[in-house]
Amino acid sequence: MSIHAPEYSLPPPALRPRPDRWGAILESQLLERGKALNFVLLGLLSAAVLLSTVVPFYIATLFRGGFGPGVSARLFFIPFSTGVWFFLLVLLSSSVGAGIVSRDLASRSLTLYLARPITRFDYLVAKSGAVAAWIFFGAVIPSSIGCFIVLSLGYASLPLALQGFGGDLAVGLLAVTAFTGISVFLSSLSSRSALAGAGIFGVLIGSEAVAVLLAAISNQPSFGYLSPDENLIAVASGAFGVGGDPLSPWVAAVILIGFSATTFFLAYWRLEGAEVVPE
Amino acid sequence: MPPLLETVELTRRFDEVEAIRGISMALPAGAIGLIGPNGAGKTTLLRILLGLIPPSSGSARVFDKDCEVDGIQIRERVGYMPEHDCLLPEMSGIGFVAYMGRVSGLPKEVAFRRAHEVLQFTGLREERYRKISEYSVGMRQRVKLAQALVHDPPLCIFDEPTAGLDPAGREGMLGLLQILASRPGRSMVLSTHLLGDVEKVCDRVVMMNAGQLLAEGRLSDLKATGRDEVVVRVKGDPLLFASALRAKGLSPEVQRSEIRLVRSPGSEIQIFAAARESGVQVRYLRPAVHTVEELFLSLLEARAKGAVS
Repeated sequence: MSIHAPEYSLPPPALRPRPDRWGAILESQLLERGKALNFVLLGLLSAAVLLSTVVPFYIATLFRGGFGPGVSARLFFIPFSTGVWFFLLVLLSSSVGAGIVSRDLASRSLTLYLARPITRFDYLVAKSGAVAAWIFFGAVIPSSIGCFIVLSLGYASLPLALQGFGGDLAVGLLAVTAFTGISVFLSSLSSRSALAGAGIFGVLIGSEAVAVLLAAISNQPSFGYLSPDENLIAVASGAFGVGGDPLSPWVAAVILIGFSATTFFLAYWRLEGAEVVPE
Repeated sequence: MPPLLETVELTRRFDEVEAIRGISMALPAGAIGLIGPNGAGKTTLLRILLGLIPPSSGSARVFDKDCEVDGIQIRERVGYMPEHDCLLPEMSGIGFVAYMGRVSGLPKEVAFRRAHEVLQFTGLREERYRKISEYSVGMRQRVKLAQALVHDPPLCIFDEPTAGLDPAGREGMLGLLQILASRPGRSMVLSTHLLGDVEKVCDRVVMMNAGQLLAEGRLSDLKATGRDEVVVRVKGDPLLFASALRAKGLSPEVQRSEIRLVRSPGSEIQIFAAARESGVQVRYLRPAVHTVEELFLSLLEARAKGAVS
């Protein structure tokens, strides 16, 4: 067999713009994360959220008249209050986020990515986008479907369902940004996916444990701001009109946004220092 | 026409270490060999040319674009093959090459079609659907080559492309590089410490050592600037022959069965006279052809002597 220079059957096309390039990374990473474990976690999360949304509304409908008009809106808070939602979301984040950057560090394919016509920021956006999409499927979609179901079954009026949807969206999006940020940052710190996954789980669950413990010991509820879960619960309680939470929903929301921005910045900073063409 | 690569007083420091020291050069399009020992600054130079790190001072331009400012535009027109393993093992060869094409900006359909074509060129037609984790070292090198070519860049940068290959694999890879170097309108930079590879593939060479430029130019011109020497092989005692040459005022260097000496007017006549006197038979007499290795070593030696003096 003789060899000859590659003769391309298509003429050289104009290269697509940068969003298309990182879009290719996003698509690839999104599909790569489509593993059985992630689908199982997503299924469990959806089942937990749907059940804890629809069943309380069903029961409330059975006993309609026994509840005041404000009680129904509070029912949307139930999925967030049990801890199951947070725990499963942490598991999902650990599973989808663990290898997002660490695998590229391990295989040293980061070199190839950054030697392409994209920036480190593009790379980070694409990788974060894939993680965020998966967390979005778990943090926002099930609760939104829950609102739609209670509306369709007549358990809630349209304004009530919209209020529930708005609250779910606010809490869910805050969870998406915070969990994505910490997942991408911790994944960029290690070339071992398992270690990164354990780190994500440990930091999120550990911060909750530390916050609860410190708050109990010192009798200072403001230690709750150290935990993403406590902050998300505070935002949810504010969104659904549930009183009694010692944390301010606005402060909690600002902390979550600040936490997300900081972790994204740290991940970018970490990539800036990553060797592209090692000596 | 602007040069393909141009640097002006290019310097790059890493804390106290000066990896690149005031390199100025202008290289036209073609096959360029970048040679030097480990730590010479080759990789740092490549990083600057790819627009991945800025120079500490001076400037670098590729395709007449500033590497510090126009990194993305430069990388659109450059294919890069790193030295180390950097493939995604869970992907198939075809999937990986097409994916890299898409990240370079090719539309999906075009990226896949080109991936097929370029994998055929690199000799991986039959194995393209297999996972990269199942590939041998040679096949991995060929996938790395394919991903650098998939978007058909006018300039390819190959960093130690024959590293880790067996002799047959090395010859195969050099054959591919020779074909690529012969394509009109396409240029390459071949960074290696295997000087023989450069000699086979490149027409220009940039020699670096300790962050400095030792020499730069056409290979044939650089070779011509070496000492004018002849090589003699004799049947008989070469040491006796060498003594006879010394008696005639020549300075022979005995290298195994060969004797090398500086050419001067009438030296050929003296060589045959010395052979007759020492009772040896001249088997061949030819002008010495300098290899890149010899040239590089002589430049290093000259630089060291200059530094001492």
